[in-house]
Amino acid sequence: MKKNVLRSISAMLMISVCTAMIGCSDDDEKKEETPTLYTRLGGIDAISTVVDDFLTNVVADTEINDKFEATVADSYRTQLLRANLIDQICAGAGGPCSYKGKSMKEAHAGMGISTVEFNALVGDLVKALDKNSVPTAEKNELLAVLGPMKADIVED
Amino acid sequence: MKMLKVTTMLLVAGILTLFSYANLRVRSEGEKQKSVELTSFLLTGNLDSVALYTLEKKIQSTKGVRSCSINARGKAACVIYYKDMISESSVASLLTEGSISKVTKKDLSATRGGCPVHQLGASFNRFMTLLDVRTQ
Repeated sequence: MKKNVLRSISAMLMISVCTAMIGCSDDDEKKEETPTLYTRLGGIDAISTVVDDFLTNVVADTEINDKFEATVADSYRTQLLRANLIDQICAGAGGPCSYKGKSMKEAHAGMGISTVEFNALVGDLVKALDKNSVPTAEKNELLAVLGPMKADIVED
Repeated sequence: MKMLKVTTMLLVAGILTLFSYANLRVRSEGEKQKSVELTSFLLTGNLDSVALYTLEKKIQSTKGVRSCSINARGKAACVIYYKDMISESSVASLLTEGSISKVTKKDLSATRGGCPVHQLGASFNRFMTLLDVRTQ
């Protein structure tokens, strides 16, 4: 009787261990997910480098730099703009960031930004991404995240 | 006398609250980045696109410079740098190269163009940064 009970318990233990091992291997496969755009872009350091290149492109761009003059004339406003851009791209790319700035509609209301000016801005961003050798797939993915903001920014 | 005491206590409580908020607030990843300086220059001279590109790369690789952009027509340049590693005058002298005969710091007017919404946020942010010992 005792032997039968012991055998039954051993068998149940074996089955449980085997089931757990199969279950664990299934979890391992599930954990191999595609890395976020944030990770593929290179994380916060890479994003801040792209933002700095983007800002210098914009301020040197005679087509649109007058829209940014009052902001870049003040060091603290420049820091705030820079921080907001980094957070916005980081958050949009699925990174561990929280954008604390105004909505695009609020931030650009009354500035009279045209489609031509918006496209010039996007061109400056693309230049910054190319300068940092961001792969085409990641570049397009980021532009797809930021592109819909056009409706809130342009006042054509 | 009692009024004065109450007023003083309220003032001290207010300052302590602001100080605590400034130092305990959660900073975003963007806010945690080391502060940079941005300077814009007007250029006089003639550089072809290859020379402009080379100059841009040279300045970009200088210690302390985060980014440099010279526009295609070679008339305007912008540099972002760490002021504890390189000075504005050093950045300006780096731009004086080849056929660029004159480099003038661009006079940026605080009232012309710009993002109006940042005005209030920037003033508050400036005050919080002064109180925040983490940024000193």
